[in-house]
Amino acid sequence: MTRAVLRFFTVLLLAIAIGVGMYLAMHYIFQPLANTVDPDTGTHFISRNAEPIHVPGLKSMARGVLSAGKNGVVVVFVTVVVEAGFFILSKINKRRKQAG
Amino acid sequence: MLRTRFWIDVFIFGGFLIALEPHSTGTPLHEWLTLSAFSVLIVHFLFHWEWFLRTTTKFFQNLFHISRLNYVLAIVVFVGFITIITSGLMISESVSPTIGLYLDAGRGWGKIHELAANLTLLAVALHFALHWDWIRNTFVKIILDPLFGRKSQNVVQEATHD
Repeated sequence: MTRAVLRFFTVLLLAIAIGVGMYLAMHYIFQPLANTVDPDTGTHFISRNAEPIHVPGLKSMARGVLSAGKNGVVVVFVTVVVEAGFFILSKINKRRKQAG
Repeated sequence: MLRTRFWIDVFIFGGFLIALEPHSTGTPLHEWLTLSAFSVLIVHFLFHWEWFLRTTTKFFQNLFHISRLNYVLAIVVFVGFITIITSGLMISESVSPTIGLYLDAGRGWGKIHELAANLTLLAVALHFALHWDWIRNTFVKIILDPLFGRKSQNVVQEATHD
């Protein structure tokens, strides 16, 4: 149990270290660089979705469920492609063995 | 243990798909859900700790084995989640103010957040696909077999073995 807790905090510490590294790299390297190269662009994040998303209404909720479903479709698509790839590879290997 | 692992994975996976879309939850829930999913992701990672250390020490011995792809993909997913969390905290409207963090987001974090989320979705999908046999066998063993009163003949093997 103690070992599991220790491992948990090790991974958490690693995650925090990487996150802080990203922040420092952005803050001290990439953002000053971007401000020098392109000073006109605003600093605000422009979302693809123009409407505010603080409180999900029924309509946006339905759209959200569809969007989550879309993510599921991506997963299913990738799974089908990978499984089909494995299937074809196994068939090729089988034929090679038979020919050999 | 298998049952616990399966349900933790279902929770992370479902939570991830929902949390990716702020429209389905609203911004505050989106932020808190992603943060909690990350801590559960660490637990998921800890279940594979021994495999991870074993593969690290033997990584170059059998470079073209499927477990090496799983290994690299696991690191990509982990770093992807850290990027999502870090950039998410920078543009946060709920979590950061709640814990008293008022960060000067600067430019770029929003786009990094979106890009990291999309790429991590692809990486998670690939991770899911590579573990499809384990998922299918475990689903049959712990849900379908008890449901239909069958005695399980399904031996669930780790997809991440050497």
